[in-house]
Amino acid sequence: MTKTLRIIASGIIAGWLALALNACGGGAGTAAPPAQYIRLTNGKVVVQQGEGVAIVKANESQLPGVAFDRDVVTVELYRNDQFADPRTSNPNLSDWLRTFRVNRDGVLLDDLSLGEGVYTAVARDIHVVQDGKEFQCAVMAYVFQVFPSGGELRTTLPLKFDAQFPALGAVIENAYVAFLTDARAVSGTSRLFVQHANGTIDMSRPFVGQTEAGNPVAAVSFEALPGGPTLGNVQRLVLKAFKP
Amino acid sequence: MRGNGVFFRVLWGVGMVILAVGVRAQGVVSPSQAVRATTSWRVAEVEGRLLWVSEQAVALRIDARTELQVGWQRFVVKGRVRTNRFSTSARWFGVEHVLREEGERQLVLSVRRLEDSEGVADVAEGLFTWVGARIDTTSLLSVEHARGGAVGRRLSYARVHAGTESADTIGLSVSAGSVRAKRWQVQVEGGIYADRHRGTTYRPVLSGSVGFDLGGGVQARLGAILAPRGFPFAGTPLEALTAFALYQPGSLVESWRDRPAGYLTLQVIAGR
Repeated sequence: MTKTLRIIASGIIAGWLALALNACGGGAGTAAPPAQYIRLTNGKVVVQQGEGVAIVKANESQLPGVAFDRDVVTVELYRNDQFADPRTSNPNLSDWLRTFRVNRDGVLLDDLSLGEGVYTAVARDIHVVQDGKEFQCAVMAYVFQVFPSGGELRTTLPLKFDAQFPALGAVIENAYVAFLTDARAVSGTSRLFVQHANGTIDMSRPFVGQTEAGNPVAAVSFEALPGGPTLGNVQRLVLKAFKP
Repeated sequence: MRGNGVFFRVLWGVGMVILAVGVRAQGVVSPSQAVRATTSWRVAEVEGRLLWVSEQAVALRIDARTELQVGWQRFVVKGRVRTNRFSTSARWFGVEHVLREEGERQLVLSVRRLEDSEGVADVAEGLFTWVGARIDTTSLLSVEHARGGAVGRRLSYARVHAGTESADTIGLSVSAGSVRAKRWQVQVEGGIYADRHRGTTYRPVLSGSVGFDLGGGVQARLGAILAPRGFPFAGTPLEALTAFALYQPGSLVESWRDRPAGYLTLQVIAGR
């Protein structure tokens, strides 16, 4: 009994001593993780009008926010919003439409013909390494609309995408996602959902009107709160864009 | 809102007076009680932020030396505006065992695990959640009864895990309780906690309570706790909240850890 007590007391006292010695050394302890970011500037959509469809052109259009460590990646395309509840929903196989190929930078390698409706593009195993910093995401989904306007079919796919993701283990603050889409989406809604090892982020924002290179566009921007948990492995990132 | 602020400041003032004469609930219930149920309600206001905590706990004495404990807590921190709040809940399990008993002296080993549910920050910018923390605490308590009172010394070590973050908290506290009359009791406690997470911070915590015997095995306690340098990650009844500060999440939770803070407690304890 006495021996057990001594062992328990010694353990606790040893902890105290370690903390006290640490404080004597300036109390620095383990340094806070430096702010580290992965910058992604991509996303582009070139649409050609077909017979009742919008044709998203290969080699010119690029998926937003993705980068892979493989030369050719297969992306799944589904009908409707497959992430109605982005936290729990999973793509329904009965809504599966097709797959299409993209290269390691997300540039489409196949044309996509899309009729009016809501679609979900799902890319898996996103892996970006930039200056030794790493960002990984198991599932990245983009939910968008194809809609008629002025006798043409238009999309809420991004015309330009700019994001600063925190690297794995870095504090989430100062991270952002911003993108531009068709001007007819102004006053529509965009939603960003991220699920990672340390928690979730769920933000909704309206598209606002803006001019880009002399052309009207709809713009949206999501900024992380000041201070925050460090980014753990990302299980899911869902970005939605809907017109009003 | 302003009325609420005045009300809680008055409550806070009353709490400080109570603290001045002494407080904290420990060793109140007779060890002969086989089952004990406790409901606790805690409230505080700091810079316009309101904290509510409710806790229900049950303790079951399985023999003369050992007690099993389980509890549930609910935390809500309300910000200054409507769309600004943080909430979480937690459950905990514990076992206390009297290691040694010599006359009026006791040495008690306590092991406890607290598991937070997800922390939810509902703010104007959106809805943010953080994976709940887990806190494992081992403590040694020595209690010495003398002249109608008791003096306790507690040495504790807690390991806190929250997502990919972790921290250690070691606490050393001394408490004194005395029975001033048949139906009421006063206790005070003072402790120092060392938090280690990207550096070491020492945080004193002072507390006290007044207990009233309501008869029929029921007691009521009114207490206050004050942390002049903020509450540590673990070691206080707020640990299910303060452990989220490991994420460095901004003012909603950090205010309770990095600034002078305190709260009032009302407890009702029934045992048989």
